[in-house]
Amino acid sequence: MPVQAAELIKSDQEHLIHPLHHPSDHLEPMVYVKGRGAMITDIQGREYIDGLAGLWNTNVGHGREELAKAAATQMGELAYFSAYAGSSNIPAVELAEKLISLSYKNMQGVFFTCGGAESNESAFKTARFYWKAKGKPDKVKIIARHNAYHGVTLQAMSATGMAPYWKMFEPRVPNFVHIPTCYPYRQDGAKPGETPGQTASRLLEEAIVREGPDSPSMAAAAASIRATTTSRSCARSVTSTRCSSSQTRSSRASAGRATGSP
Amino acid sequence: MTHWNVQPDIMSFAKGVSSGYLPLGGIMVSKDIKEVMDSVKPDDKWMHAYTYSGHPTCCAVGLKNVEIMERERLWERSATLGTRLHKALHAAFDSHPNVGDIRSGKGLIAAVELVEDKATKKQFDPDRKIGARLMQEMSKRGVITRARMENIFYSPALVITEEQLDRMVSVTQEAVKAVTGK
Repeated sequence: MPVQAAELIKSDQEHLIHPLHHPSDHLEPMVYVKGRGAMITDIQGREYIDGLAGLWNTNVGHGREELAKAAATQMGELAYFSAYAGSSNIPAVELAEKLISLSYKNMQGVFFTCGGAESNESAFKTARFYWKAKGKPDKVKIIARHNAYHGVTLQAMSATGMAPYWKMFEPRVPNFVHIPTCYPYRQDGAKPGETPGQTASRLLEEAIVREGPDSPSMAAAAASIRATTTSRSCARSVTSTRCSSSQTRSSRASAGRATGSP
Repeated sequence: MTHWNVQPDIMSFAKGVSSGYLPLGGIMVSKDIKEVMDSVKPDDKWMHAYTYSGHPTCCAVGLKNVEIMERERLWERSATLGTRLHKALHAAFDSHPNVGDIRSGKGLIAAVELVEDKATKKQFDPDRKIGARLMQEMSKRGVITRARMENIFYSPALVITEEQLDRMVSVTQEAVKAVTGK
């Protein structure tokens, strides 16, 4: 076993490029081979409690046969087909209907992607599309927060408020604006007597005013900004792929980990 | 989101929708936005696409995943275990001289922020690699998670047992002691 692992790791280091790739972080990588519930096992047979559920995502735990069977059954029938306008498939329709039934009353339509960065790319483009269709083509700016992570495709990276992600890939996409994040323990921009929520609302309002009220198309935001974005005609987008709303909701299941906070 | 009375116009999602078994995400859009998408002239149509949007197998897994979460009422488990985690972290670290902030209490997700000086909130020197060392010590003791600088993250599967959850916290205590000496 150890010999196999050594050969695998050598090949890995030579041929596989990892997210946030640097050899110094991959000198002795862990190779995970199995998962059951909240436990994962490495190639040496050592077991660990998976404290992060993969990457904040394996809600139902590892090793669910039901999910493996659902994939195998569908693949046996129709693994993949285009869902471009004019074509459809049953699981996509049924899942869209299900997600809308679980979500807010004002939610109507679902566009599927393969992950959070793609979702955010779609959100930014849709916000701009909406305002162009409404006769406000200059409403293009996206307001996001420092320290917020929205993914690292080029637009999403430009929304992500962490400079290390930008450095080796600039120039960023224009018209992404950042405001301080909601971080009560170290709140930037707080005034005496303000709650963190009030600070967040005020900072957003100030950003909109500063950028020109007719230019922001959306605020990637959390709670306490409802009044601000309504009064300033910005779309509110919750970019909430990292954490699941089934973790935080008290009454409904939902299919994403969404607290709405960065 | 229901904790804070916010209603989005667009909602990005991913990750847990399929429990990560297959890549899946998406956006939900409001009635207002959908109406606009449906009513523009063909010349102005929403020219956005991905090859794998609406992938049948990924969606089939997503559907089954949501069914499992509803059947097992995992949001309730998240709330209950979230409270357990919240109490355990506070019991373990409220009086620790190097724990500055504990972010928990709304479901099964939490973070603990270590500081060099609790009174001034002074952060550790990055050269001390506190986060990386904490992760190593936790891994040696059978817990894998992630840290960003000196913030330790917790977000275990909603099916984690109480025993495993408690062990996650006790291992963190041992790791913090191994790294800070306290």
